[in-house]
Amino acid sequence: MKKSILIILALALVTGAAVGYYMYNKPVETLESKDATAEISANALFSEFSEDETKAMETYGSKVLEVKGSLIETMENSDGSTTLILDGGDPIFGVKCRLDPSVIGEEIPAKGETVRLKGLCIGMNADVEMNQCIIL
Amino acid sequence: MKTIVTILLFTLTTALSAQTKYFTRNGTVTFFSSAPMEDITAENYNATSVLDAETGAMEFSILMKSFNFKKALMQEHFNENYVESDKFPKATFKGKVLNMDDIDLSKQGSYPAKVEGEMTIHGVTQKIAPEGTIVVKGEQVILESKFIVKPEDYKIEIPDVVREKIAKEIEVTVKTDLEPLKR
Repeated sequence: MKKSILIILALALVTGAAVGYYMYNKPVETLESKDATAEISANALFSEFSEDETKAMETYGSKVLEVKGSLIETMENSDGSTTLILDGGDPIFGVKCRLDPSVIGEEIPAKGETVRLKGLCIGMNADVEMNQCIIL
Repeated sequence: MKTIVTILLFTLTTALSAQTKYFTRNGTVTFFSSAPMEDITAENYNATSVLDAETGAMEFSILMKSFNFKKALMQEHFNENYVESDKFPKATFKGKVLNMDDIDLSKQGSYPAKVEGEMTIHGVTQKIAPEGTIVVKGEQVILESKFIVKPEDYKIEIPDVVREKIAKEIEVTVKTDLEPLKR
């Protein structure tokens, strides 16, 4: 009797430790399985942030958005990942979207093409920024 | 006639002064914390930065939420508990290259740069004077710097429970390739 309790206790401990270890080391999840909470054009997103950043942050901040816009610039970052700038209707700034480098095999559209992507809206830093983006 | 000349002159001078500005929106800022229990690295590839070659004025701006961590839990703790990204979304640096006169941006090479300015993290502003290097490569101007940031200086509280996992001094590395601002 005592023995079985000990075994159960030991098993619970090992499972607990394993779950804890797994949770602690869990990598950042991609947005592949997450649905966008809103669909918006790059133009509309940029103007909403330009008009009232605080309000736009309340609506879109830390949300997964589906954004559509014309690609005006493609940049290669120092880690080899790609950042796309979508036209926001401003001469310099737009919607800056860093593609998630752990999602592979994506085809980068050509400049001028319309891009549809989903990503995490993280705020405005001259450009409106989106992280962990996936081209749809 | 006079107005036309004035307008022409004005356009010309703004065009000229525009050429002295260098800009990037995908600069790299990484930080590294080395502690007995764990080493932590976070990387940000979307720093926006402007350098005015004439005056040496320099600005950096990053969103805290564009720091990428390897572990989800670390990223969550960083944003929610330590830097409080929702309350203080940006980190900025506004400063000046003090020895801009010694740096010839038309001549290829590597120049030591003395920088002074104010850095704001977590809503707290501190004066810093990091040393760096300006590398001129063709049209590109590359800024590189490495300096120490102490979380306590920016009122970032690290609870005792994780004290063994997070360093008291965080090493920040900046590397940005600036290009002439074409307008």
